Amino acid sequence: MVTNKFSLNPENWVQDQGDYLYNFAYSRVLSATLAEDLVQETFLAAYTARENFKGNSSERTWLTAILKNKIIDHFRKADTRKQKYSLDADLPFKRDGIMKDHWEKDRAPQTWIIDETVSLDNPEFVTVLQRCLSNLPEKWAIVFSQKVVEDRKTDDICKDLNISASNLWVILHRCRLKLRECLEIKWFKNE
Amino acid sequence: MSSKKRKYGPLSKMVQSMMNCKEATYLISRQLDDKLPLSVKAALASHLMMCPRCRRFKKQTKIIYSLLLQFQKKTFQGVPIVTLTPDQKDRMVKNLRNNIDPGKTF
Repeated sequence: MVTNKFSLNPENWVQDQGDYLYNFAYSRVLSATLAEDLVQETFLAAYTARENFKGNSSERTWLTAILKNKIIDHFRKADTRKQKYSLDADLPFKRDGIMKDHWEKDRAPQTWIIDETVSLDNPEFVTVLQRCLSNLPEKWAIVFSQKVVEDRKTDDICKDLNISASNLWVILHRCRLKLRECLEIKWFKNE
Repeated sequence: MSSKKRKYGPLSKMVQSMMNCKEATYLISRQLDDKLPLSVKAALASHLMMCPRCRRFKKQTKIIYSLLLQFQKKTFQGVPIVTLTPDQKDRMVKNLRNNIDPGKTF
């Protein structure tokens, strides 16, 4: 009987590494269902490649490396160029008239009350933030996550996702408008 | 004048005429990740002086920006912000088990 030097019980992986990997994936894809799928795929791939696992101290690092590759593969499959920019009708600005492209009155930013409930330590707030992030079109979310969450260089993102810098800026603009409005409606307006 | 080849083509148009909120919010967003030329910065600043809604947009966008950076920092430090539900965990364990060859020992 072959003895391995570490425990490869799948239950341990899910319990010990599941939340960490899920957070990692979620922060990069901004979708709960997609993050779950990627973590699932990671565990399966890791099990298949378990012979390559060297020691307990690097188990998390090893699993994370597999997850990183899964995320990269996912990004490569998504073609960000095909995502159409939201029609101007989706934007919170007036479409015509003398005040064209100024804020639509009903959709203009209101005053936000920032208190201790507005925190990542507050599960209710995190739930709302998650919901708003998941409203971002998937291909935009990728760009948004790489720039805003991962803080990657613009040139690197453009090269990897095959978009121009001006595409990137427009996508970020649209994402920020959408996100801000969603949070205001779902959190700050209900104060 | 809508040449996409010039890096700041559309931006210089914003400087020349009165900036609107769509342009201003674009610049506010861009300014978080990129350097704006001085003339554009100045034009944005004067729009902000006159537009409380765009001032709010700027403040709120910065708040969201900092929250997302925190998210990434905490994730990097292994602090969970989102967690798998027991159901999700059960599902994962089941899927793993289904894929393990029952004949193998380990």
